[in-house]
Amino acid sequence: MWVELQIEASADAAELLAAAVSPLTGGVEIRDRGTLLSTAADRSVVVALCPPAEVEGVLSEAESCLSVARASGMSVDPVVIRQRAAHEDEWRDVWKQFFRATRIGRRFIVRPSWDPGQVQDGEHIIDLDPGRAFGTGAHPTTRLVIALAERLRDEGLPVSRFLDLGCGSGILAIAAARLWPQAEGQAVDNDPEATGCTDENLARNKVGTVKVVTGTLVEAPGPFDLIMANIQADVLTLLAPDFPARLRPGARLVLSGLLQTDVDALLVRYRDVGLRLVTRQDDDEWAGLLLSAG
Amino acid sequence: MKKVTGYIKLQVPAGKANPAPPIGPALGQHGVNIMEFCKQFNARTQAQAKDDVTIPVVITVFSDRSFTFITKTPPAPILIKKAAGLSTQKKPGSGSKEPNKVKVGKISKKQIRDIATLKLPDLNTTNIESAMRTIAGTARSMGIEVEG
Repeated sequence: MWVELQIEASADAAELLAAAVSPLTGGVEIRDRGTLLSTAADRSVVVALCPPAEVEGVLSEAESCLSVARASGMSVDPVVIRQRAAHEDEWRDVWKQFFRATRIGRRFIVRPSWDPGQVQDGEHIIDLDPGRAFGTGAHPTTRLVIALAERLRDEGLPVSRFLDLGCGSGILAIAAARLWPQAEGQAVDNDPEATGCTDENLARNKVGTVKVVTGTLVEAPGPFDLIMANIQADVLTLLAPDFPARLRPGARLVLSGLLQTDVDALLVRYRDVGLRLVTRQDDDEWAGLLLSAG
Repeated sequence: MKKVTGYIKLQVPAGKANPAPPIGPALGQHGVNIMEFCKQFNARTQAQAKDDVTIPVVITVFSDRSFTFITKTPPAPILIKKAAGLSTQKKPGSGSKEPNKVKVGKISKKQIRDIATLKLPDLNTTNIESAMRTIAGTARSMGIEVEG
């Protein structure tokens, strides 16, 4: 349970209020006359959510900030404070109604429970409701990994063991299990919310060949024929030395979550540990890399 | 061409976006894919995450619920607090009890200039002196004394 605080004051005071409240609430939303939920001209609303026990502290900080601003001559009044109880269900599920069945790569259709989509012959279905963990298939970084995995399947890469590192919703582990149904898979994420989500999605898609682990790469000693890691550049840079020992000769590593501007520096790091770039695909501002262990 | 539905303004810590408030409620109610925003925001701000800095972000929402966003320079009050040696991770209720009389910190003219230079791309001026006056005004309204 959360409490939503809306602190309305002059537009001039918004920046000060936001800076005062934000450290206590992990960030704020600012509404003004130009935003979707707009205010009157020259007015602003700083919206912050916090647990009920922290409301007093947040309001005290806001009052203190406004008092100082008043004393300096800034026009901040009238100040209006509204508060209401808020529950995660309000925002966790609302946006999902806009998510529809989506085609990814050449053979996959990802569909939420509320949209069966139109499945063509030969297409792999992934049933997945977007929600608590990353990976709906709508994002370029997921699409890039699936496209590269399809390419590997078409080229006949033999895969008896694969790893989905940073599995999120588990979408990539499910896709790999569809492409290599005889293979054993492992899905790892350091977020228990994500691995819980992966477990649910594997069961829903009747995939019984993937083991889910909450942890890091340490929990996945390998060796693997295919590793897919859709994370982000800083993490993948740190992990570079840990991948070679986990890749069998001829195995492939697919890296995603990279902005195109991250690629050059990252590739230097991976070349240094003996991995070779096979191909690169770009989608929007993102890049996916396919590397080879030999 | 996609139609712009509107804008959402947030201030969130660099590299640490997650579906919790304020991001979840602010985006979710407008149909924006929360997790995908978090992924993109964290990728773009990963370099600033080590500085523990707050980043203002303006999200443009389109009629099909897709989105783009721009990030801005850190808020002036946060930069001023750091320059004045004040904690930006303040405990609640630690503000001045007598704001009219008690200044909570000091900031030098050089620090004002440094902040103005950094903030210049986001201010309504290209003139550094004008930007410095804006930053100094913000500092005073926070109860921080501007030296020199």
